[in-house]
Amino acid sequence: MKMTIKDKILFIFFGAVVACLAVSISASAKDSSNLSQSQADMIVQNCTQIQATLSSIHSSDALLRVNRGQTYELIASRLMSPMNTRIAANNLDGASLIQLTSDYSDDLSDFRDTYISYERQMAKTIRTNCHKSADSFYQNLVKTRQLRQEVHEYVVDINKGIRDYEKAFDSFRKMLTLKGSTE
Amino acid sequence: MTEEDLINEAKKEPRWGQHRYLIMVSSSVLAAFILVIISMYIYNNSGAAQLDLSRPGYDASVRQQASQSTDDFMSYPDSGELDQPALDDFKRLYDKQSKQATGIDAFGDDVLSDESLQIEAAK
Repeated sequence: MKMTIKDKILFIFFGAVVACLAVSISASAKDSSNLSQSQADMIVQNCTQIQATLSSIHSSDALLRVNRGQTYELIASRLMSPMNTRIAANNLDGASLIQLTSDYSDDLSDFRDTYISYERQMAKTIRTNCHKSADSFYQNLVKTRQLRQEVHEYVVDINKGIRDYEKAFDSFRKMLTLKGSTE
Repeated sequence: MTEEDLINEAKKEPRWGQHRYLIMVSSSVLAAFILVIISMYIYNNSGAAQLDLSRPGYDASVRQQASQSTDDFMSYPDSGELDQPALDDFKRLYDKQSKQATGIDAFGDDVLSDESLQIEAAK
């Protein structure tokens, strides 16, 4: 099949657009991990201290993950699920609460998975020799920050899920009280 | 039975039979090695490693600070009538845990900032 001149122009145009997009994406990725010479010098100079700080954050994050995770899991398994079961057993409409519990469980699952990636990236950053390769260390640090940001976003979602369930429960309770008083 | 008879009898054994103890020990070690690799793979990929506070690399002090028991977290009964006292009971339990869970802004990204790590670019 032969390409007409119009097809060729279109092909070149789209090729150029794709290339421009790729360059801009790559440039923006580089910008976020751009390391100035003065920062590189500071990394090499404060390497031991930075590594110690990161190790300390690593430990405290593990503790936070265990304690927070346990609380989040227990809220779902000891409060939300039993309440949903009880509502269903009493033949009442708890669809919104069930949906919120399902969303909450999804967020919790995403939180678990993202935390694993974050923890691995953090361990990799700590293992990187910042005396010898400040640039590589900084790139790993930037990735760690991005993953920590993701973990934080899931924590925000989980907290929102907890509050949303509470609001939905309050509405459910109000509706049930009104229903009870009219009967 | 003479020594020569014993040698002749040993020669009648198949080749693997002559080294059966060595083969048994080697295969046991190999099996243990493979099982360790499989278990380490599961440990690392299941998320268990991230919850293991006894791992090398973590401060020993964090282990003591982890919640040891979940007994103080009251469970709401999943059966029974849903009357006003039951709803109030749930509200009380949920409020308590909700405040605890949402009270901390966990995993904020400021601790990893250039400023916090003292690698801020000179102005």
